[in-house]
Amino acid sequence: MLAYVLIRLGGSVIVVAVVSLIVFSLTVISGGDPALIFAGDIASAADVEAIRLRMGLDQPFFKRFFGWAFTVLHGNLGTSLFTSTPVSSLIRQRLEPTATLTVATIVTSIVVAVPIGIMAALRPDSWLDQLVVASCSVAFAVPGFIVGYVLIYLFSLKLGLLPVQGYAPLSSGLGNTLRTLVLPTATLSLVYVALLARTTRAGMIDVLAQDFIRTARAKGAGTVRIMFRHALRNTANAILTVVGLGIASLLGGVVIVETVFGLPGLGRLTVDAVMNRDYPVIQALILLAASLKIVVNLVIDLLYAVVDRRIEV
Amino acid sequence: MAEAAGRARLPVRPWLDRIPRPRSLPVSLAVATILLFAVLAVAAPLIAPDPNLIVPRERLQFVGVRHWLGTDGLGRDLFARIAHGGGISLTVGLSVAVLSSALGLLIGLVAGYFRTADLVIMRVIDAIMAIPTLLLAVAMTMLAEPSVLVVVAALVVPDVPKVVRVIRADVLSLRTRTYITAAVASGTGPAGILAVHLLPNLLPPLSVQTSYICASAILQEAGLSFIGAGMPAETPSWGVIVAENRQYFVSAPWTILFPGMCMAALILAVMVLGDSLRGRYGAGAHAGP
Amino acid sequence: MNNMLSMNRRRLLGSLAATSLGAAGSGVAGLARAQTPGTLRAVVASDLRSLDPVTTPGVTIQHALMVYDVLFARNHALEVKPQMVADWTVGDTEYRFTLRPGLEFHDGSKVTSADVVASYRRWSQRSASGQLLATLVAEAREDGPTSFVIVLKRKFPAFLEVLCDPVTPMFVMRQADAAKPATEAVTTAIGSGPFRFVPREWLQGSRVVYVRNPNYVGRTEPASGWAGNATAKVERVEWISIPDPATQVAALRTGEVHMIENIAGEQILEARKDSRIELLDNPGRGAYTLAILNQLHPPFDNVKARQAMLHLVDQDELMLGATGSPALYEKCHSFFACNSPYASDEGAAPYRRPDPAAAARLFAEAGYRGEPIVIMMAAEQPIWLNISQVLLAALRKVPSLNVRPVSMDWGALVARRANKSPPGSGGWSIFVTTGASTSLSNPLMHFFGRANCDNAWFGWPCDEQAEQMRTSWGDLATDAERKAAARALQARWFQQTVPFVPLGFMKTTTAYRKDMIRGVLSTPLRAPQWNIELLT
Repeated sequence: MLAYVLIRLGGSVIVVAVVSLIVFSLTVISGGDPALIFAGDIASAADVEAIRLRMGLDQPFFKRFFGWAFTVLHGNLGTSLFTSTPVSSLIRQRLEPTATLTVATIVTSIVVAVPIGIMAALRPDSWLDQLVVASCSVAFAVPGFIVGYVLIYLFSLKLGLLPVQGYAPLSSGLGNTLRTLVLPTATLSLVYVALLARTTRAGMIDVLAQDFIRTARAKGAGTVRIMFRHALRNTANAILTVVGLGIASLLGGVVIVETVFGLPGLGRLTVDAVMNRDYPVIQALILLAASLKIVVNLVIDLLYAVVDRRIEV
Repeated sequence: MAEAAGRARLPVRPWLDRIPRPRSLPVSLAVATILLFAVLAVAAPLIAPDPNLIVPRERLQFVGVRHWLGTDGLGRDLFARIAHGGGISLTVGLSVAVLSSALGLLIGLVAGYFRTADLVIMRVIDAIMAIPTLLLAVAMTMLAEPSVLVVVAALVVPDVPKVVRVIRADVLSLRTRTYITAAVASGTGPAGILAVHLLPNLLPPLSVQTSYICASAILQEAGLSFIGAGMPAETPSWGVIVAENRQYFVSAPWTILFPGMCMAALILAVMVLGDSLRGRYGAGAHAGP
Repeated sequence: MNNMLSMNRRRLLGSLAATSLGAAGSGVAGLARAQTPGTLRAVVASDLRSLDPVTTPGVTIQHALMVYDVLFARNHALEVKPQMVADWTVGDTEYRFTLRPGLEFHDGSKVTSADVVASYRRWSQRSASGQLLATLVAEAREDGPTSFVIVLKRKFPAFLEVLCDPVTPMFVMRQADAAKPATEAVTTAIGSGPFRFVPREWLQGSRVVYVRNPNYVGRTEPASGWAGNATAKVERVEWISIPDPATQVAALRTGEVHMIENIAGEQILEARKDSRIELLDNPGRGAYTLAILNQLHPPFDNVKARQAMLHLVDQDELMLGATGSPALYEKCHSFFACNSPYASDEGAAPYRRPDPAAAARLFAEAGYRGEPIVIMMAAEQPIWLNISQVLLAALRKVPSLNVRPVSMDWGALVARRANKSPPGSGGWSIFVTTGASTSLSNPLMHFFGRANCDNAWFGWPCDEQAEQMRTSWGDLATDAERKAAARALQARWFQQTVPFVPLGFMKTTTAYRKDMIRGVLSTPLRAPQWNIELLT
C-alpha cells in the first residue's frame, strides 16, 4: 500500500509539471495580451510597450516558463500582473469560501441523494421511482442562476430569512458562515443530488438483482441488513467515483453560484484571471487545482480498496 | 448455470435485436420527444421564420399569433430560435456524449484491466482533468475560429476522463469476480474477456454517464457561449438562448422558461432512454460473487 | 401585495443594516464582523484591482476620488472650481497657483508644491489629454513650498479645462509615490482626500474599506458635483462586490447595501418598482454608444462607406435593444454629447432617419468590392452584445455587404483591435464601445474625435484639416467663437472624417435607499461618497 502511494505521488509530481507547461502554453496560445488589457483604453503604444517590458512579456516562451517554475520551487507563487499583489495572498483570501462551499455541497448531496437513490431502487419502476428519475432530469436541466434567483427571491426578498449575497468567514462564527452558505449550497447541490441519486439508484438496482443478495434473503436476512452490509458496500464504488468527480469540478470553481451570490471564491478568480490573461495567477491556480485533483483521485482510489475488499491496490 | 447460458447467447444476437423495443410508456415518450426535436430541427428552415431577425420594437412579447412562443429582448421569434437551436443542442449533446463515452470506455477498460497500463494512463487522465475547461475552450476558440466542432472538441476533452474513471472503477470491481477468473483460467484472452464479459456489464453504468454527459454538454456549452468562448455569433443553441435571456428573468421569464423546458424535456428523454438500455442488459447480466 | 408583517420585518432589517449591530447573527446584513456604527455600504461598477489611477482607468479612479484630493474639480454644471488651490494668477503663458493652507496627507506629512509638481508630471504622461498637454505645456515647476507654476508654450485660454480633466482627473500624491514612472503602478493609497484606505481589510473581489479622514479640510462652498465641500459624513465606507446585476438590486431591496453606484437597463426598471429606492435624476448620466470604424483598410478607408454607416444606423432600434425602454435612452445625432453646450445638429440632417437604400448606394459609389467587414462582438457584456447584434442586423439590410461577425471574449477583442492588418487577415472593421458624456464634451478633449492618423485612437481616423480645427479650438476665447467653431468642426466630421458612428445615449443612474441615506451627489459618472449621511 505504502509503495503504491509513493509511486502515485511520484508520478503526480511529473503530471503537475507537465500540466503547468500545457496550461502556460494554452494561455499564450489564447492570444490576448495582458499588457494591452491592463493598459486600458487610454494608453499609447509606447505605454503598452513599457508595461509589456515591466510584466516581462517580451521574454521568450521557455525563459518565462522556467523563470516562473524557478520562483515557484522557491516557494514564491509570483505577483499578479493586474493587482500587483502576491498571488499567494490572493489565493489565500479566496480559498475559504470555495472550500467551505465545496464541503457543504458534497455533504448535503450525499446526505440527501443516497437515501433517495436507495428508496427508488427498492421500488424499481414504481411511481416513486419514476418521479425520482423525472425530478433528477429536470434538476440537471435547470440552469444554476435560475435556481439562485428563485431562492434569493423566496428566502431573502420575500421571507427575509437569509442574506442575498456575501460570505461570512469562519472567523466570524460558524453560524454566520452557514447562513451565507445555505442558498449557494442549495443551488449547487441540486445538480449533484440529481447525479448522485441516479448513480446510487442504478448501482443499487444492479446489485440487488444479484445472486448473493437472493442468497442472503433466502437465509433470512432482513432488508435493512441486506442494504447496509451487502448492497451499499457494493454500490459505494460508484458513489465514491461520482463524489470524487464532484469534488474535482467543484474545486475548479463554480462560477455561476459565486457570481450570483457574490461569493469571493476561486471560481471567479480563475475566470477573471483567464479573461485578463493574468499568467501568474492562472499558473498558480492550476498548480493548486491540479494538485488537489490528484490527491482527491488518489484518496478515492485508496477508498475503493477499503470499501470493496476484493479490489487490490 | 443459467447465467453462463445467458452470457453465451448475448454476443451472438444480431445487432438489430439489440435495439430496445419500448416496453413502457415512459420509454415511448422519450423516443417520441427526441424524434420530435430532431424533426423540428430539420424542418425549422421551412416552418419557422429567421431566428436571427431582429425587430426591437417587438421585444419581449408573450405567446401570440404572430410569435407562437413570444419574442426575446431583441424581438427575435422564440419559436424559430428554439426550433433551430434544438438541432444545434442535440448535435452538441449527442456528439460530446457519444465521443466521450466511446473514448472513455476504451481507455477505462484498458486502464482497469491492465495494471501497468493503469499507472501510466491514469496519470495522463489526471493531467487532463487538471486543465480547466474554460481555459481550454478559450484557447481552442483562439486557435480556430469559433464553430460547433471547436465547442464539441472543447467539451469532449474534459469529459473523457470522467467516463474513464467511472469505467475503470467498475472494471476494477468486476475483474475480481469468479466468472472472470474462470474465463481466464479457461484460456480466454484479454480481448475476449474485455469484449465478452466486461463490456456488457459496463453498459449499464456507462449509459447513466452518457446521459449525464449529454445533459451537461448542453449546459456547459451555454456557459462557454456566455463568455464568448463558445458558439459562433448568431448560433441560437438552447444554451445560448437561456444565457442571453438571463437578464430578463424577472421581466420576461418565458424567454428562459421555454428553452429551459425544452432542455429539460430532452434531458429527461435521454435519461429515460439510458435507463431502458440499462434495463435491457441489467437483469441477470451480473453474475454471482 | 406585502402584508404588514413582512414590511415591518424589512424595515427592521433595514435599520439593522444601517446601524450595523455587531457580532453573530443579528440581522441579515450585520453579519460578518462587529461593524462600527455609521458604515455606508455601496456597490461600485466593478472589482477594484489596481490602486493607481494613473496606470489604470475605471473603478480605480473612483477609488482615487475617495483617498486623494484634486487641484480643481467640476461642479454640477461641469464648471471648473478650485479644490486644493486657494487662488491663482494667469499671465500670458504662465499660470501661478497657491495651495490652501493646512492640507495634509494621511501619514501626517504636509502637502507641498513638490508633491503637486511630481503628481502633475506623472499624470500628464498618461492622462486622456496627455497628447494635448505635451503640445501645450513648456514646464511645470515649484515656486515656494505652497506655490507652483505651469508655463505654456503659447497662450491657451482653455488650459484650466484641460487641467481639470473629468475623465482622468489629476490626483495629488506624495512626491515619493509620484516619482515612479507612469507605467509602473503605485501600490499605496496615501492621499490627502476625505477618506483613508484600509489596506488590511481589502479583500480583493469581496470588499474594499475606507474610513473617514478626520484631518480633511473641506472647502466652505456646499458640495456640488465633484466640487465644493467634500468632507465625509460617515465613519466608514465599504464597497461590496456583487457581480450579478440582479443580485445587486436584491441586495439593495433587503438593505444589505445602501446604494448601487451605477445601475442600467433592466435593473433600473426593476428598481423602479420598489418605493424605497430612489433613482438619481441626472440627465447627463449615462453612456454614449459608438461604433468605431477601421479607417486603415477598405471599405471604411473611403468616406462614402463611412457615411453609408451613418445612414444605416437606426438609433431607436439600437437603443431599444440595448435598454429595453424608451425611457432609458435618448437619441443623439451629434458627434458631441447632447447635453454639452457644443452639441448641435450641424450636418446631421441627412442621417436622422435610417436609409438602407442610401447606404447601399454609397457603398457602391465607394467602390465596395466585397471586402470582408469583420465586426468584433464581445460576448461578456449583454448590453454591448445586444447593440452589436442590432448593428449587425442593420448591416445585413445591404445585401451586397460581406459581413463577418466574430464573437470573442473582451481580452481577445482588446488584442485584435490593436492589430492594424487588413480585416480579412486578423484585423477588424467595426467594434462597439461607449463613453461618458465627459469624453465627448468639447472638441479639444474629445476622446474619440482625434483624427491624427497613427496617433489617434483605434480606428485611426486621418484628417489633417479636422485635426487642425479641433486643436485650434482651444485658442478661442469667447463662447460665441467656440460654439461656431464646434459647429464647423462637426460639419467637417460629417462631410469627411466620420471619426465614429454615434449609436445613441443609454441612460444610467445611481440607485439608493432613500429611507437609509441622503446626500447622494449628482455627477456625470462616478457618484462620490462624501456628503452622504446615514439616516438612523
